[in-house]
Amino acid sequence: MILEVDRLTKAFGGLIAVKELSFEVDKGELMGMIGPNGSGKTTTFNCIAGYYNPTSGKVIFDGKDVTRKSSHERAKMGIARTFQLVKPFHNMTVLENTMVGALTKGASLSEAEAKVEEILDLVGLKDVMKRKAKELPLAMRKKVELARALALDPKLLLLDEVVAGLNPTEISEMLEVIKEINRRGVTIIMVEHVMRAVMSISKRIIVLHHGEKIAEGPPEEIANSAKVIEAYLGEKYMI
Amino acid sequence: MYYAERMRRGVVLSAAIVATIAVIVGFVVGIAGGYFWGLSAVPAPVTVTTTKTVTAPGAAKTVTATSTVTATKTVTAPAAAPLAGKVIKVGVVQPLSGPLAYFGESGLDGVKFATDEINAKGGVLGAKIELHIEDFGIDYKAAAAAAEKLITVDKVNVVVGGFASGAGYTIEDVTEKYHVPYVTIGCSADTITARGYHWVFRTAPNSTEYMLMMGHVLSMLYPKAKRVAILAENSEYGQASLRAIKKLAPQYGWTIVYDEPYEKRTPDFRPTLQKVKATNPDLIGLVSYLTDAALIMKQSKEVGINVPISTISGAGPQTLKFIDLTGKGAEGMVMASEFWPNKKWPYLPAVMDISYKFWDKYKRPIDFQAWAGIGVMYIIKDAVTRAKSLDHTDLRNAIASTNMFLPWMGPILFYPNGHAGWWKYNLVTYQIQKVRQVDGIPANIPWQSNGLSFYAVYPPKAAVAALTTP
Amino acid sequence: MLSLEMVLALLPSSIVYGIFLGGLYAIIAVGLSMIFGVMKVINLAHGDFAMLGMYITFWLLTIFGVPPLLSLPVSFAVMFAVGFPFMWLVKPLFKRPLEEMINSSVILTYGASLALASGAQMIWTSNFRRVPNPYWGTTFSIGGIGLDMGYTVVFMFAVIVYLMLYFFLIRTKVGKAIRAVSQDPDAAALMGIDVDRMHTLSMGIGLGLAALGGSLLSLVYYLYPWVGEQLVLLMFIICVLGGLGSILGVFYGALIIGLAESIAVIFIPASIKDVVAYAIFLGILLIRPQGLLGGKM
Repeated sequence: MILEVDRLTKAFGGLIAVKELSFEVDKGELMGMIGPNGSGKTTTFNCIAGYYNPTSGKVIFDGKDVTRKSSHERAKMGIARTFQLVKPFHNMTVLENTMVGALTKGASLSEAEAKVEEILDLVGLKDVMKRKAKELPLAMRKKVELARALALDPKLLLLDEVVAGLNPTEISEMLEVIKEINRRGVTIIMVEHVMRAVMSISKRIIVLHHGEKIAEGPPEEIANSAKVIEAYLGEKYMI
Repeated sequence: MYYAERMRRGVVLSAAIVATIAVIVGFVVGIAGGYFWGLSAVPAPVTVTTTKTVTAPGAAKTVTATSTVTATKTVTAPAAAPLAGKVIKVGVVQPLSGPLAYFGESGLDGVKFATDEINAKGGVLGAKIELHIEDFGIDYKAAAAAAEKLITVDKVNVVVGGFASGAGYTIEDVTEKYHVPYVTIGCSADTITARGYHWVFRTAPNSTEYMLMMGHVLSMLYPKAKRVAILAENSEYGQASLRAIKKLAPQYGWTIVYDEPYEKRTPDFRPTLQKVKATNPDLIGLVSYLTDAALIMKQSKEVGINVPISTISGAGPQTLKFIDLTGKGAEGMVMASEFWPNKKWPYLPAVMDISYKFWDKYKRPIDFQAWAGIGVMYIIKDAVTRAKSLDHTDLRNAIASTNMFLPWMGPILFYPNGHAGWWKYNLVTYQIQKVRQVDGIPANIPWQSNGLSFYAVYPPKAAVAALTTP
Repeated sequence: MLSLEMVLALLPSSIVYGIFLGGLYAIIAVGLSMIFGVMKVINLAHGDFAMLGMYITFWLLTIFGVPPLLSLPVSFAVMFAVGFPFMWLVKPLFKRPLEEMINSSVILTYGASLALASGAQMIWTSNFRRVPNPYWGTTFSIGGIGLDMGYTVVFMFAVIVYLMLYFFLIRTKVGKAIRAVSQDPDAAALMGIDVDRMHTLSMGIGLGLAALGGSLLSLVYYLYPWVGEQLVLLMFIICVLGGLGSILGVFYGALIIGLAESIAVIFIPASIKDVVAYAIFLGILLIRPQGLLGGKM
């Protein structure tokens, strides 16, 4: 077990975004997390990655309680993430963007450069590595984020809607990359609004609604769960 | 203090006699007055003041002045003062932060120095002076706001201060509106007393007076100069001075070849100086603040200007600080200033006495602003003594009819417009000769005394050195 | 109005003076841009830190006889250290939403500015002082253009410091981390970068650069407690013109303003030369609201 989330609650003033959420993730797993807008998926991610401090509950990573650790400390321990709204360092080249991750792990400039080229090869950005991030199309910028996260040598990778906004070809390309990363031993949690994408690659899915877990299980089971359909009511077409 | 000093010197014996008579008369009248009107007030000073109206320029003044003060002092002591228990609220509006603070503080220190002295001697007719101090930085609108606050909230009896003409200009609008007397410290622009205002008084020389003096001296020093460039700062002070210069220039055979105003406090004057140089002047005149003048002197060398540069009207070059900032480059410069405490000044010991006391108290050399600050407070003291009232109108009228002598200022009389024209009597031209490098300012040296680079060269009655062409 | 011939005669030296003045402006302004770039803090006290740098140079020379150029690293180091407590003062603002934070930073640093200047006046009085140095008033001439050693030395050091800063930000690990933080603090944190540390570090460097700029300024200008107030508006304009947060942009912005001020004087009275600077500033912002090199670091 690499991650244990124990009765996690996050409140913003009176608004409870995540309520008493508990789940576990095994080493090497590729887990999906779905839910309608505002169901607390990104908040959960933020609590795991350390961007927010949870109001109560615990996050245990690799056997250590990281609930009160800052995000950069968690990043060094092996939690990496991407953002729903892409946030590469716009004025840096793709190479530099990716190097930032490697450098914080203590690599020297030349080591980092060698390591990063391999990663860029994996995600398919080698051809554009000298270009600035802001000059690239969205799909590539999402890959830049992915590459940057991978450069940290993460044990756990949190992907926040990496396929949102991409066309079907780009989606399948991206999913291939994700599967490859998972195959290399990185545990992945994917948050996705587009259920189809998650369904096709996850072994297990948890469903959030109003900050609470309403279902958990293999994709087929989730797709047919009445509770889940109810939660997504009006958004059924997305399933 | 200075009065006592002069007394001790025993300038004229008759002074003592007049004083004794005055005391006796005052005493009798006082007792009678107190008896008849049931007042504790002593009208003695009035009597004495009437005696004083004999004042005329020259040595006679010393006599009368001495008598007045002695009389007042002796009389107020035994009988209860008419203003006992009252407070004379004086509002001081000065630049105490920002680039003008150097002189703003100096003026304020002068005001404080005089106030402490006056209060230590029992105040004015029993009333103590209370200072209400406001800072306006470099924001002249803030000066007006400060004056308004002093008048409406603090209910001051009189407003003093200003330093910058721009500030004086806005303050006098307020004092005029509220009918409160205002005595400036500094503020030399002609315009200050040319607006038909009733409530403003100025002890500083005005732009025209500076120009009359400098035009005369410069045409003696550089008789061949025809093309004159004027570098005047972009302010009320600078532009009023420029107007005065342009008006009087033909009288000295000058053609003004450059008169563009410059922006104050720029680190780089070289482009401007280059342009000045291109107009091919025989002489360059400055109307500048201390630091700007020093920087212009320095940078003019870089640009290759080798015609003489002189301050025509200066807000600061007439101080030791200027030599400190300019160094050797200042040699040969001439400048007009409003005070000449050298060996030719008859009241030098009194002046030196204050200078040393000022140094002991504030650890800075006394300068023209501090003298003005001290003077303003004694003018107010004199006015209150004669008015025996703190009413704005009474005070205003008393200040308007000021006819006194201060050893560090000379005789003080106000024209109907509020300008103290008697400054003509005191305005002196200095030349900086043999600059002694002043590393930090040496202790115990009063301002502009002999042997410290500033030499009075004109008029002859004040001159201690000959005007030399550098 | 001057003839064309005269304009052409004045132009070369005006350009040279403008470039030199620009170098001086650039070195004082660069820290301001850096602090904004990394932290989005508008540091109105920047000029006052430059003022403190001037006083450091002055006192080191007056008390210990340290030559002014040797006091440059001391100025930098002292203000770098001051960056830590100053950061502690500014830090609570980061909890606020960005826009509110920027606004509050203006108020907070304005307060700091007043406190520093008044404090300096209390301790050192409002006296004007000069740092006696061998370059002061030493002139030489190249091609008929009279030059001042002071400005030449300042310009040389400005270029050296700029190159060092550029190398630091582009070539070193810490530099890259600072740039990452400036572009996206959240992402940088999740990349394992200690954002707080980078903030403090860039605050230190920013203030250090301000003091360094002040020390250089003291070679050619007088010092007094309120000199910062006089500088900060122009510095701010230069930074916005070059693109707030852009190091190279500041240099261009400073050169443009320096040149504009110098050249404009040929055609208009010096009293309105600042108007030209502001007009250029507005003009460039109309075309490029983000500044010349907006957002680059």
